[in-house]
Amino acid sequence: MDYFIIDGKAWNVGCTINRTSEITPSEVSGLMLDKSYYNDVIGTYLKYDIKLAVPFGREEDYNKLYEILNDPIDKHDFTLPYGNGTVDIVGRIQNIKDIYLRQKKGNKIETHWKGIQFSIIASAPTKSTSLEDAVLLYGFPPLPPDTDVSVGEVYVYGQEGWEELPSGDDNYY
Amino acid sequence: MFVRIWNKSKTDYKNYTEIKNLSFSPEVDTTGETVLIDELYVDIKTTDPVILGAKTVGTISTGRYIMLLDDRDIKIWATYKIVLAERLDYDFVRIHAQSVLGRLDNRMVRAEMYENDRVYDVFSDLFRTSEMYSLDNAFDNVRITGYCPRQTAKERLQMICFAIGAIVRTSFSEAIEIIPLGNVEKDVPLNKVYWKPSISYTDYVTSIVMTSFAFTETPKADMISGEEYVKANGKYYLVERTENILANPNAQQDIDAREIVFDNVYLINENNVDEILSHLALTYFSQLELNAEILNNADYIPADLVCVPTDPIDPIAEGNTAVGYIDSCAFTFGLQAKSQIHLRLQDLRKTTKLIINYMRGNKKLGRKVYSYPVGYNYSIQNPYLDQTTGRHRYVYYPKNERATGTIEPGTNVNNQPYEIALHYKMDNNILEIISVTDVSWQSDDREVISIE
Repeated sequence: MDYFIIDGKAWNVGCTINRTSEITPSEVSGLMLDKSYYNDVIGTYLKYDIKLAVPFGREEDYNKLYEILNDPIDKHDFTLPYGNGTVDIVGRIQNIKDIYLRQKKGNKIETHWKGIQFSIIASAPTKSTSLEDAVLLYGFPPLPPDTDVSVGEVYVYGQEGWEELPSGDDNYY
Repeated sequence: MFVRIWNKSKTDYKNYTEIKNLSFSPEVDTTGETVLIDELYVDIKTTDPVILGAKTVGTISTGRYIMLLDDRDIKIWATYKIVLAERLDYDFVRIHAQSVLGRLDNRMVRAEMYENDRVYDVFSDLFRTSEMYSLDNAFDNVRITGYCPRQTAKERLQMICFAIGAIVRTSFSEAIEIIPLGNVEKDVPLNKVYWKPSISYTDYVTSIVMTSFAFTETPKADMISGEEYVKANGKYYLVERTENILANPNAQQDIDAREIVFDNVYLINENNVDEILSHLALTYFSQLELNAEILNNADYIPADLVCVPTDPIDPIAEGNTAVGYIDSCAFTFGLQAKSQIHLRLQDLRKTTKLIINYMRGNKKLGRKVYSYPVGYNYSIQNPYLDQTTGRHRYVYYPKNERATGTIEPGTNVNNQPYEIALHYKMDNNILEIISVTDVSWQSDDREVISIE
């Protein structure tokens, strides 16, 4: 299986991938006066932290990949592992790092770059919601219900304003 | 949110959904002293060529209409004219637009002497066909008398609106709106107010001094040196001034006098001076102002009369509700929108708790807690209660259909009596009908579906 594809080219190299899903709120999110937190979610953005293991002898591939990654362009097309399959995302690359080794082996000096690692951050959310979608999919109104607290509405922390009376008591009858 | 830019003839448009750095802060002057020009700034992503300066090479140009629209239901937030479009880089163009009021500043109108003229007709003459405006029905039959000097069209609009107690609003509509201040209170619920609003004090205004005018047509030959005259449509008019003072009833006796003076509004006369003084008092005699952030998808806009709670609900303390007219809304956009609002308070009402206890004799079945302003007359329906304890299920009915009363300062408690309607004993599957006249059954499971 090709591990990942960058701009249409597959790179069949060993890698370690850390996947992060960031559920990104907007500036509209915040603490409300009824002590609830309103979370205005823009969407879910994927972030992949990738560390490659390019085998020795494939320095040419390594260098080609490095030059693609550090191109000063705003985004690339990626196909990356996701769940049991793959996901296509458009993302930007950040923080490309690797290590240069210079070793003496016998009478020879060997040098090579290794351990390239970089982050891919999706430019667009892989999941997002419109106000109507949020109502349909998740069954809750995207806006807080338009209650008129200042002229009488129930606000008890948690749910309904029923007091819990001691059990075993004959309070009820 | 997205923007829509129209072509010059306003027959076609293009939508731009990739936008950033959207800045939109509409405001009104609730006194009517000034007419504020709202502005819109936005960066839009487009590779369309753009007009820069005087070159005509592209599709986005100054003078075109731009609309700010809501993703949800195509609600119009603004319809403005582009005054500047500059390309920032290959992808983005920065647009600066302002309401068409700005264009009224570019046009002069002649001096006029109005003699009981309908404002409806006056505005029809003032605005050009291309300048959309709407006049609220409240002003349909309002008339003006007095003098307006040669001035810009915007100054004329402001002078007339001031004289009739109208506000000019240029956001949330395709047209310039000439409206009265809102008279229907809109409640902002607790869960739409961000933590935490702030109330501050402004300087006391001890009185408003307003000069009213009377004009007498005078032949040029009869004009007397040293008297004040104005000229309109080739005629001369002698000006008579009368000073009117409205004192702030809430101003303390020992503070320094601070007057607001209006002595050159020639449309103020003996017929409208009291009404205009009262209108100005709504703003100037208020010493308190509120700044708050609220969740706001254009539900609360400048000139609206709003009730904003200022304190969280608290089992111990009372809270407050600030009532006033919004004069500015600075918006921040996400999936939804919030705005920083400012208002001069008309009222600061105490809110306090109401506890309704549902009682059977001395036993408390449950309770609900409400937050209400002091003085509020409440009427809350009492629900049927269905409660299970151990192997017994009870349905209680309220002896009063509604709990009613008037909110007093401090915590209010209202005990509502209940009786048992039904008692179901699960151990022996017996349903006792205690206090009802009829019960309907559904199937052999004996699920009660109605009680009378």
